[in-house]
Amino acid sequence: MRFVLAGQPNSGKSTIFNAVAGYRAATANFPGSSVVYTVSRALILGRETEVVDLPGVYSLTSTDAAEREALSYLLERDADVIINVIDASRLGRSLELTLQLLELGRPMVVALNMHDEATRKGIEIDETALAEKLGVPVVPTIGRRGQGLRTLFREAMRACLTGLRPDPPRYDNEVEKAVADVELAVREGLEGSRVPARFLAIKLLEGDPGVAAGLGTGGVPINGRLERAISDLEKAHGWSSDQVISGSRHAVAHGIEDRVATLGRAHVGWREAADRLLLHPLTGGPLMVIILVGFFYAVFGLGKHLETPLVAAFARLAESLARFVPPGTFAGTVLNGMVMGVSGGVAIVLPYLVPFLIGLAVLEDTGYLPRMAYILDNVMHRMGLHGKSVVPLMLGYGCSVPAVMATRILESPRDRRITTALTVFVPCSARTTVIYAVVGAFLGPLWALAVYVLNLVVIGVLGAVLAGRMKGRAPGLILEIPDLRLPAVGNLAAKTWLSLREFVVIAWPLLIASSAVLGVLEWAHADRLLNVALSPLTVVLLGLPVATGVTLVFGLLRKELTLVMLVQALGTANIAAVLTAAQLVTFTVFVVFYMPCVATIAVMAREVGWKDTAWISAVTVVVAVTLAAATRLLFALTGA
Amino acid sequence: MTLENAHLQQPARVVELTGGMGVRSHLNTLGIHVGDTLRVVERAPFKGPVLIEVHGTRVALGRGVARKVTVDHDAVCPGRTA
Repeated sequence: MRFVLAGQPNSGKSTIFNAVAGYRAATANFPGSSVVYTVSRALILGRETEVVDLPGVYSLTSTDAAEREALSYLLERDADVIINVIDASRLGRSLELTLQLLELGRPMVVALNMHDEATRKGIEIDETALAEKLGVPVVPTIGRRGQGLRTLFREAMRACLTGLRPDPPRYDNEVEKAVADVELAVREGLEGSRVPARFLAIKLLEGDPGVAAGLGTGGVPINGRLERAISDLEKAHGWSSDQVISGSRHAVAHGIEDRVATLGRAHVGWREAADRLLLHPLTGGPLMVIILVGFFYAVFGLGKHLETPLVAAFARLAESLARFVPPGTFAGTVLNGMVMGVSGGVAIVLPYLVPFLIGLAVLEDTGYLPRMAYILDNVMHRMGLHGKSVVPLMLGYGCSVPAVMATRILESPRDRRITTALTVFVPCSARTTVIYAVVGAFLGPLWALAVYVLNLVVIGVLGAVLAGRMKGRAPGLILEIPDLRLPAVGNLAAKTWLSLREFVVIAWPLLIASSAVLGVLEWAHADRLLNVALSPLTVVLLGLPVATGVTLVFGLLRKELTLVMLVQALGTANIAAVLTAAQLVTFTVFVVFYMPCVATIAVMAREVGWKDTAWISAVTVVVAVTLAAATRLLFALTGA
Repeated sequence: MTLENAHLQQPARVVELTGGMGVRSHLNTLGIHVGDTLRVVERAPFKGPVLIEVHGTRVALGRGVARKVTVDHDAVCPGRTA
């Protein structure tokens, strides 16, 4: 049995999905937070089922990546039941997608989600009347609190067992006539196919480029008929046929809304007041700076408090271990390496990573990211992009991998390529720990802030250069600004854990293993080979100790490794005792900019191809070497 | 007039959507059609985007896009609010 969750962006599909499948799909309060579909097996009401979470789409046309993905899934795979998740507070608009889903002729159930928010907005919906109008069961739900989900899935199961197919919606007479003409022509070619003739007829009349290319007319030559139907429609209404159909659907959807929903007084509360300030022409910008700098200091302050005692504890542990297993021996070197690996993870990376991930989750779940896109649209325009690029860039502060994938929310391929290149330059949480733990911890938070500012300047300049070289400017920002929402603690915890698990399960074993390997290399004096090979860069150009060479190599696997390996290669967590201020900053600048890690390279290659991946990586190395060398020079000139 | 110079906070009716099919269908899916009532909530300074409210949803439109939406304050149906 396969249930497919489909709905508009930010309607709460992923929240419902996570409630039945465990936390697997990343949720956030901005449109387009899921760009690919997620599948999970779940035991629902005692039966094993497959639940699919499709990316949110406003309509079933194929004009952007998420829509193409959702449409091709619905047309090519067998969905036993479509669960259409609707944001009850945006009923009219949501129904436009519902009507299109009904055209697919599959068993369907509607989840009238977030009906608490609808109530807050003063909207009262008669769900019995709605179910009658649509011809499918309607279940009110509050996904975030798990309310109504049992009933929803029970109804879905019933729909699956009875296999009842809903009737497609009816539009105005002229549209119906055109649809009937084309439907008759394509019916023959669709025999044995899952695609209903009526659905294909409507898509062809809309001139949907993706459907025309993918399905064609079902192999039947009907071109004369289609063109005649289109020109008749356009003559009757005076608009293009796609507008006529979309307008007709809009009218039907809002007709249903008017019948089943009553509008009372909206409750005006903190959300509206907060939005006034957050988006106000005078206060919006300054508040954004305050929020981001506050975020930075909060993470730093918390991390520092946790780091100091943990580092001391591990130093004591290493000392007492050294008494039992002498450090010079093979066993001693390997053991010491592994302790360093564990301590690097626990004492240095986690104290900064955990508060950082929680903070980022708060920014995502409250819905502040799309507001940043609104405020920064202007700046991004100067650069030759538009505000939507801000969302993947901000996600890049968490991890480059989902950030590169999030570039799918951008409509134009040009913007995607440029934004992908820029997200790689954004310091991810792993590089953030390097900035905090190396520069911040030893030279003070202002220095760390300076590294971030330098990074932003580089991204700005690079963005402007790339945008100036690539043609095909996007039409501009069109972005829904969702209501502000208080993040739910459970969701924050689950989300932080989803990112943290990645570190614990993948990075940490790698850290410990790499530390052991480095221990062996040191014992065999083989690390010197690597270090010597890299010394033209590290020693000659950047003025760093020769031992840092090997850390940069490990950093290609995971950026956290750079930090931990540095501690181990230098033989102390008190890095400032061994490195000068100039070396600390130079090292950090280099690490922040050079080469994306292997996981990022893999996802970039998939998303934008190897050619783009190669030049983007090359640019990161050139920028890293140039800036790090300049940093060294600057320190030398000022005598700091 | 277009959304670029429409009055703030006053209901206005969409008279025309110019621009290519991509932009038009994108605006349609967000609930902006010819004949719909909406209102401009805020305009960001220095030719920044325009924030509108339509059918209870807030949508940010870049200046270029806002210029493609022609509206009329006088054509609003009585009793209709955005």
